[in-house]
Amino acid sequence: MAFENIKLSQKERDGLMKLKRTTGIKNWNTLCRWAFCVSLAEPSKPRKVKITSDSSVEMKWKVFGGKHHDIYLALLTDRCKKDGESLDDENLYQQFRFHLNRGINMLTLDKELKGADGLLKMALGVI
Amino acid sequence: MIFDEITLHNYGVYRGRQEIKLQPQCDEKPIILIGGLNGVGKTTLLDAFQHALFGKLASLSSKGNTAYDKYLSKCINKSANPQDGASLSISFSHALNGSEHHYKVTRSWRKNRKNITETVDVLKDGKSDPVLTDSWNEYVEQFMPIRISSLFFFDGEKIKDFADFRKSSELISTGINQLLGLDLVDRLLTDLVVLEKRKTLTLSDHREAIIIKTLEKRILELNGKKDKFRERKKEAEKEVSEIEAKIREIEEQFRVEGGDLYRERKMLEFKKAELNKRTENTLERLADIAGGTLPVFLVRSQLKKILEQVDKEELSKNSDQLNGTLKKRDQQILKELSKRKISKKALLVVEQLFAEDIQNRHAHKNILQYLFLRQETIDSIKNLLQESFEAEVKEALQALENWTSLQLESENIERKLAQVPDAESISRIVKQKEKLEGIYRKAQVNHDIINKEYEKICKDINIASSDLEKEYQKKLDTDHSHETASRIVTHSKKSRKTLEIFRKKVIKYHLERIQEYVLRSFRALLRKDTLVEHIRFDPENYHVEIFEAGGKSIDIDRLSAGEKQLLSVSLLWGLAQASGRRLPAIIDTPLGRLDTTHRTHLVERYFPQASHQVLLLSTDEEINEKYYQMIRPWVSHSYHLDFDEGKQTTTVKPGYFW
Repeated sequence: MAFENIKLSQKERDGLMKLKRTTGIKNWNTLCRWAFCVSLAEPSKPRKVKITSDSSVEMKWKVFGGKHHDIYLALLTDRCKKDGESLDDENLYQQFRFHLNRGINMLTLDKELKGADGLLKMALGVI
Repeated sequence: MIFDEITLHNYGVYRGRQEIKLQPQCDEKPIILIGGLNGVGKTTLLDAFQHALFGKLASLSSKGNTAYDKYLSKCINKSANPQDGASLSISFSHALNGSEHHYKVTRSWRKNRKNITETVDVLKDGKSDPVLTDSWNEYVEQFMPIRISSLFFFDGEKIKDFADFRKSSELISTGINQLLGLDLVDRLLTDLVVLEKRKTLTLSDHREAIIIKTLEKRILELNGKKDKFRERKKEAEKEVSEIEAKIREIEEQFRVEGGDLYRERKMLEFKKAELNKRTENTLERLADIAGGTLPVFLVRSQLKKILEQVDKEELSKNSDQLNGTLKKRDQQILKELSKRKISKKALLVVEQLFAEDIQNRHAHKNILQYLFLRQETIDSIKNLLQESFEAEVKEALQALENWTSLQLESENIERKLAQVPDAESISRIVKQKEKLEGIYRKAQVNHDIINKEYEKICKDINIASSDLEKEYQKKLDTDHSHETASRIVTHSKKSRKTLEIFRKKVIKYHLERIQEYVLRSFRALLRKDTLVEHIRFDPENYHVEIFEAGGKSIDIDRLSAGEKQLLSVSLLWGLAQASGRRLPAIIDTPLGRLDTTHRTHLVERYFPQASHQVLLLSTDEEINEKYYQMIRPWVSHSYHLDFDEGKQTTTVKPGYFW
C-alpha cells in the first residue's frame, strides 16, 4: 500500500463539517470519496497546495476507500499517470491530497449543493 | 152487572164459610134485604163487597189509615187459625156487547210467620183467567169503576153530609167527572199542561245557542291569536333566516381569512411532521446511497479507460513471454531446417518471416505498464460497470424522485401553513360565530315553540270549527224540534181551550140531565111536592142551588136534617141514573134518622127504583115490620145476620127478623 494514513488540515475539516451540515452525510470517509471523485472528474490538473495535517480528522486508506479501496488507488494511479506525475508513493499521496483539497473546496463553494440529493444528481448528471 | 153470590171465609166476625146468594128472583123484585142488629157485621159485609172487588184500593170504613197487610191480618177472624187465613169470593154477571159472562173473584190471604200473602184468583165463565188475575185492579174498572162505587155502595148514616156544600160539590164533581168520562178529559188536560211545560222547558233550553256563542267567541279569539302568532312566526322565521345569513357571512369571512386552513392547521402540522420524518428518512436514504459507489460513477469513463489500460498491459505482459518462447522456437526450427539441408533461399525467407513476426510482436512491448492491478480489482471494476452502477443509479433515481415529490409536498404544506392565519384574528371570528350559533339555536328554539303553538292553534281552530259545525247541526235539529215543540205547545193550548169548551159544554149538557134526574128523585122523595121547583148546579163549582116556585132560591142550611139526607140520596140516585151504568146498589143503614113520611117515601119510591139489584143492610129499627110489609112486594129474598155469643161468630141465615 502506497500510504496508510490520511490526515486532514483544519481548513479541510471545516469544509467537511460544513458539508456534513448541508448534505446530512455523517461519515467523513464518504464525504472525502465524493470530494476526491469530484476532483478526479475535473480534467484540469489539481493545483499544488500546502499540505497540512493539523486537524483531528484522520483515517486509514482502507477506511477511506472501503471495500473498493483498490479501485480508488487505481483511479489515483491512472490519473497521476495521465497528468504525467511520477507514481512513487509520496507523489501519489501528494496528488491524492491535492485532489481531496480541490474536491472539498469545489463542494463547499458549490451554492447549488443543498443536500445529499445534490451529490447524487451530480453523479447522475441530472442537474 | 149483577152480584150472584158472596162468600166469606173467616172474614171479620164471620167465622168459617158463609155464602150469601144475591141474585134477585126477577126484575120486579130487585131488593135483597139483609137484617142485622148493631155490631153483628153489617158494615163488615158492605166492606166485604168493596174489599173483594178493589183489594187495597178499596175505601173501607174500618180500614182508615192502616197499612193494607195489617188490615188483612186484622180481617182474619179472631178465633180462626191465622195460618188458615181468610178469603172473600164474589161472583157476578156482566153483560158486554150483548153477551153475558160470569166472573168470580176470589181474594184469599194467610199469615206465615210475619208476612201476609194475598192471592187473587179470577175465574171467567168458570175458567181461571190468568190475564184477568194478573191485572185485576185494572180490569175491575170495566165492571165497577172504583170512584163511582160510592154512588152505589153507601152508608145512609153518612150520606147526609152530601147535603153540605163542599161534600156535595165534591160528590157531584166526582160523579160528573167519573160518569161522563170527564176524568179522561181532565187527565188529558193535565197531561197537556205537563207536555206544554216540558216542551216550554225545551224551548227555553238554549244550550246549543250558548255553546255556539262560546264556540264562535273561541274561534274568533283563536283566529286573533292565530293572526298574532302568524306574525310572530314570520318574525321568528325572518330572525332565523337573518341569523342564517349572518352565519353564512361569517363563515365566508372565516373561509377568506383562512378559517378552513386554521381548522386544518393541526392536520397540516401533523402532515408536516410526517413529511419531515419521511424527508429525514429519505435524506438518510440519500446519504446511505451517497455512501455507496456513486462517487465512482462520476469517473466511470476513467474506469473504462483503466480497463482498456489493463487489457493493454495484459497483452504486453503476454507478448514478452511469447516473444521469448517464439525466439527459442524460431531458432530451433531454423536449426532443424539447416540440418535438413533446406535451400539457403528458403531458409532466409523463413528467417525473414520470423524476424518480421517478432518485430510486430515487439510493438506491444512499448506499452507502459503502470497499474499492475490484481485480478480481484479488475473483476470488481467490471462488476461495477456492468451491474452495481445500474442498480445503484436506479435506486438513487427513485430516491431522488421520492425526495423531489416530498420537497413539493413540503413546499405545499409550508405554503399552506404560511397561509394559516394567526390564532388571534381567527379566534375573534370563531367567537363571533359561536355567539351567532348560540343566538341561532335560541332563535330556532323560539321559532319551533312559536310554530308548535301556531300549529296547536290551527288544530284547536279546526276542532272548534268542527264542533261548531256539529253544534249548528244540533241547533238545526233543535230548531226543528223547537219548532215541533212550539207547534205542540200552541196546538196543545188550542186543544186545551177546545177541551175546556168541550168540558164546559159536556158538563152543561150533562148537568142539565143530572139536574133533571136529581130534581125528579128529590121530588119523588120529598113530602112537599111543591117545595122544589128547580135544582141548579153551578157548572164551575157544582154548588147546589134549589129554587122554589117563583124562582126563589132556597138556602140549603135551612133544610132539616131529614131533608138534607133526602137531598143527598136524590143526588146519589140522580147521579147513579145519569151514569147510565147498571150497577147494583148496596145501602147500609138505609133509613138513618129520617121521619116516618120520608122513610115511607124512601121505601116506596127510592129502594125499588134505586137499581136493578138493591142490597139493603138494615137494623130491625129501620126496616121494621111496618116498612117490611111495605117493601115486601119488591123483595126477592132476605137474610138476617145472627151473632152467636158462645161461638163468637155471626152466621148468615135466610129470612128476615119475622
